Amino acid sequence: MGVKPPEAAVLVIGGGIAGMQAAIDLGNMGYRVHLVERSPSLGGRMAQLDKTFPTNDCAICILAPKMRECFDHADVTTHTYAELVELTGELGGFKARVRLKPRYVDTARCTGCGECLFKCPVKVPNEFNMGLDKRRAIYMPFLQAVPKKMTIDASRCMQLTRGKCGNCAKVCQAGAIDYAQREEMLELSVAAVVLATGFDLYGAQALTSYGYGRIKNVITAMEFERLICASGPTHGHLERPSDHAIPDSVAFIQCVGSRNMKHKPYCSAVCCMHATKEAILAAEHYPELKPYIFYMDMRAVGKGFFKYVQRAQSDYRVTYVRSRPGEIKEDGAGNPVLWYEDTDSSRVKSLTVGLVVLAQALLPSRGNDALSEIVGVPLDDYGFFRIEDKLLRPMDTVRPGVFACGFCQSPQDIPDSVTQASGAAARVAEVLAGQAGKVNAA
Amino acid sequence: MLRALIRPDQIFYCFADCGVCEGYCPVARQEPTFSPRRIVMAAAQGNLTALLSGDDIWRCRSCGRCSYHCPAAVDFLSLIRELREQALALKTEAVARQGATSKDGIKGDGREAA
Repeated sequence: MGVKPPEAAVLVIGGGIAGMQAAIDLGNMGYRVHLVERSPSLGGRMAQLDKTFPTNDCAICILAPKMRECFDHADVTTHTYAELVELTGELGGFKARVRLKPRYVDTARCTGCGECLFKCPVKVPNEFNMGLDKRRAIYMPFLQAVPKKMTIDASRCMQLTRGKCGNCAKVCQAGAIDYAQREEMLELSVAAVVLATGFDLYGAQALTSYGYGRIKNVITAMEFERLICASGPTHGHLERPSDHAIPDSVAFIQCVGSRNMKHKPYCSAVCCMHATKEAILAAEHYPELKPYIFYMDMRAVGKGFFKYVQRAQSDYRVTYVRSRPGEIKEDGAGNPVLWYEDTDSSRVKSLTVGLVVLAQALLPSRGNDALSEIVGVPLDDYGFFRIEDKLLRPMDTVRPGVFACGFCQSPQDIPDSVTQASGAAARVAEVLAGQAGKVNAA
Repeated sequence: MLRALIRPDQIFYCFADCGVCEGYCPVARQEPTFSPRRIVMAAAQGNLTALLSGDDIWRCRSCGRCSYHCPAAVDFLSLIRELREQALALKTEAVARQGATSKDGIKGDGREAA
């Protein structure tokens, strides 16, 4: 019996949860998959999260096996620290050029032991921990990184910028350091492309109007995720920035930059729930802590989401305040003071809390602008990949053979992104089945 | 006239109980019954009678913090000026109570009188 496996190759852009799911699904169908990830590791944004809603499952515990499954899959080739630079051709016969950026580390030799980290003299803000601590110029993005290999940050390495140091090469027992490494170009023939570039964080004035950057104890939700995470910079202790004390109360402010006509008019889709999760985590860590959530309207639309919100109120003493705060000031002890209208009573009130957490708007990956030109797929008004028919073909871009899934095409949470990723993989298989004669002949 | 100042898509945000304007309003902190959000909502719904005959539209100090921070980009300064002009034309009792300050208060954006 046996069904002849598909002979075509598929390109997946982005190594987050959506990209990995699409790659694994396609690999399991027998396609040859090339996954291209810009950063040195698989994982994407989900790797930075502490827990996931509405079950409070540990994010990395779900993600790490997925990263391994993707990387080790016999039919999936993962290209990390790589970027797509050109895509020509058409459905069934695309030619992709992928730039492999030099890591200055021979990945065949590097064991990821970390000896080099101790000797590197350069300290750089650690982007994985939202700049809350420092990493070295040679680094692995996070503990569970896949592949477990070092990368040298070429713009900060003293050997590469000034020609003096060489410490990592001296201590590396595997002889993996290679300062002479050059970038390489990879030519791939693929039949279809799946875009899964995820999201970036929107900052700017939306944050500073709430005192971010000026008031030390006003932080972003992503910073909170790293603080409350056991593998984060404070080992899971919610130390507020001003004095490293544990706050007695935390106010979560929703819609910071989203649902705002001066910033991003759309709803970022996940903040009501991640604030609820974060409030529960804070209450779980510290039985004395009082969490507040300031929201406009509660968008708990997923399965079990509203029950989660109710549990936050009944079991974790989370107070929901229906209001969008106005001004935030700072008292003498560094505590943020919120001025807001309690819209239930229509009275102006003030509240002093130990820490403020801003749910900043999420926007499609900043790389989408350039990628849109490369793959020939237009963006919508807000920078998401445009989907022509949201109802009938929700993963099809306007270019035949190019599909988009996850946050890069519209705001959505992790389960929806995974669903779309599997959907995109199925669409690739469906479209390529129709192209079978063409693909096999090529 | 008012419709030009508050479009339906802007009102959508007010009706979602936002309240940023009031969180910034210095008058509301002193006078708890003053609510810029409720003025916008009443004007948008066309409930002008109470607005024009009442004192609320004269309590605004035209500092403009609400307009600056409004997520729906509602131009509260222009709205309050328009409401004051309509109240002046009606010669309401509330207008009489404002005395001489009212006429100065509606010049320009309302701030140059000071």
